[in-house]
Amino acid sequence: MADAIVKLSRVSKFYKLYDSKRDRFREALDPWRRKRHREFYALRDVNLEVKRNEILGIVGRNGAGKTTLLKVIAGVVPANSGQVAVNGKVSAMLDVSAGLNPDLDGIQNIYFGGIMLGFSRQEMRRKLDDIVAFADIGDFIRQPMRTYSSGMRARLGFALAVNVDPEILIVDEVLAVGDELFRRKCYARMEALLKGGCTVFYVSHNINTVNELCTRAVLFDGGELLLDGPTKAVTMYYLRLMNASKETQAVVRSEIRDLNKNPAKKGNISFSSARQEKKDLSDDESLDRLMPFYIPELVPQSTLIQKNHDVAIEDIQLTTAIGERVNVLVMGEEYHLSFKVRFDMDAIDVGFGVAIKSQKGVNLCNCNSKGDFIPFIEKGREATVHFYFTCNLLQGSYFFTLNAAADISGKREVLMQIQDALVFKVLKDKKTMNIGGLLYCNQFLETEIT
Amino acid sequence: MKLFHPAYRFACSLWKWRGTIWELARRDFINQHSGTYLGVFWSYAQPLSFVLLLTLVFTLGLRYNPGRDVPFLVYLISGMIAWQFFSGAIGGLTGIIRAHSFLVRKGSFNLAILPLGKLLSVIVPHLILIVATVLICWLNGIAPSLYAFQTLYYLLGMLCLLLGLGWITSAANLFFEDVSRMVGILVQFGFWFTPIIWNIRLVPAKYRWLVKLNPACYFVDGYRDSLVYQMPFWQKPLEFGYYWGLTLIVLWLGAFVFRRLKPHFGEVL
Repeated sequence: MADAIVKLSRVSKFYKLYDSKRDRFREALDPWRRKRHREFYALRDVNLEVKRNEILGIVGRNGAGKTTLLKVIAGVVPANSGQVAVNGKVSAMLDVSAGLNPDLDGIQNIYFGGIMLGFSRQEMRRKLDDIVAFADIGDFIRQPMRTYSSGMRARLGFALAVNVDPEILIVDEVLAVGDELFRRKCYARMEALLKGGCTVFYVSHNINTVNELCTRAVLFDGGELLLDGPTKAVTMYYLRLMNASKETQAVVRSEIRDLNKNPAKKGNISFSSARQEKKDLSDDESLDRLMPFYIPELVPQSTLIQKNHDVAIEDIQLTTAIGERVNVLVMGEEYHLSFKVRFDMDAIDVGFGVAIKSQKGVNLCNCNSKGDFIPFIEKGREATVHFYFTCNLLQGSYFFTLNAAADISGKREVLMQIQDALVFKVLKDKKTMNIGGLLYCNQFLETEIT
Repeated sequence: MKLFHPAYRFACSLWKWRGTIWELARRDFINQHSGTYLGVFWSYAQPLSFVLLLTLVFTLGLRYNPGRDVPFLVYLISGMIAWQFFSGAIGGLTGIIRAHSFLVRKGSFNLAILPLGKLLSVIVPHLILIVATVLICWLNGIAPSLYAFQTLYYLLGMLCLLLGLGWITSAANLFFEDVSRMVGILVQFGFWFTPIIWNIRLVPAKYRWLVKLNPACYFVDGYRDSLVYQMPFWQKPLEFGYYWGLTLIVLWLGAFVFRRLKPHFGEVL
């Protein structure tokens, strides 16, 4: 395609693992090109086409090949097979030091770095103020780079990388070391670059950022490009893959592969049928709107069952108001938790409790049937408990703790309790961009200048 | 034709990257001389003090003059500055990529021009040293002549050889740091195996070709011919052919080694 700015066709990259540097050297110069290495595939047969004006999010677990992909595009390491066509000036930030000279100070580095990219001193002089202002590291700009913290390095590196008129900007997971404010500034700048016709490759482990920023995403796993599609769909599958246990990973992986073979499904598979129905109910929001979904692999690792008497809590389900099973929720919507308690004993004054706890175990909200005890449940019966709530929680992971209690010979006792019985995540969305913490209390900020 | 195409392309890229090479040279020059109070002075103090020491030892102590018809000091310094330049430059070139490892990770940068920046930065003090040598010769009764400009030809010869060697040693040094040690030792040997403080005419005529196999012999004697004996380089056609033939081979080999090893730089650093 004519307007593809980066095109990779059937690109593979393996790292040659040598037993020593000596073997590497001998092989490189061997006139008969004999092999002295073992191969480790970091990229396997990758096809990728990126056009102008795209912010491509690249997600995947550690060691999935993301950084290698960036390095191949930046030309730092060569691909072993396949074609890499890059039609534009690349500015790469592959690590925190970002090609900066540790012995020079900030200003000198700006000049030096720019001139190394082919700019003249005059051109860099014109850019200097912008870069310094963007980096915003105060007096450290006059200090040698080696005295910088990693955050300062990232600031200067990013400031330089975005100010050298790149056509292709490559940002590895380096902004993570910057503070929240700086990251926001970086995202804004990337969006501005995008409008100016730049293409951005962005690696991040933060799916919220990817969802927010990227126009498209790809998922890598084991060097393979597993999925290429709309950002939200890709990040959802990334979450699934990440949360899958070792045994189920293969299943998830093949499921994603199947999806890829059937590109028509990709666009709308991301949001189960719930999405369609919801859309009919209220078509006010655009496709941009987040929808809750279910990841089977998202299960708590910290479940603690405490069973004191002959009852069993089972069939715990979290659903949307219309009964769609979910565990990745969207803020502001209503949900419904239900579970069944089977009694293999007679119980008097039975009550139930449900609590939502934060990742750190803080009890955020709970509810129990105090004052509304069931006088008697006989052996063999089953109780179904329903817990309704509006998700006013902000992005993060949360856990349900469930219990059943009763009167045992005049004393209240817990029959059975499951801590961290179920986990759910809350996604960040556009309207919660500038608020943080755990809870949404309709907070907003207003400023008045007098 | 196919053989010359890469060379032509390289020459074009030199022009394109001239600003960058200049900056590299400037930065290298500043790095060399910052952190010392006397700065640039040291680039002269070291060779000159060595020359002075040898002069004292040979004129007062050993009473030996290889130059015969010219003063020892003149004979020594005219060849010595060529050798000093060569040995200093090759040492600096060997570590050049390692010293700029941060640029390797940048990707879009033509690493093959790194040695040129280094060479450019060491030329400036060397040119001044040539002028100083002309003055020293004058003080010792050898009037300056146009032949002094012939040193520039020999300097060019040295630069070409250095570029080829630099590509080889700087790239290989990334794989083995031993290379820089080895270069150091070879330079030490080179000093005594090159007619710098001795005269090639001491060697029996039938073995002289053995000495001349050493390419350093060509430019050390060449500097002397230019600054002292006023002998044009075309009077040594055989040496001319040998030196440039060897230099072209080294350049080609250097380009070959550098190109072959370059994809690995990102991985070994």
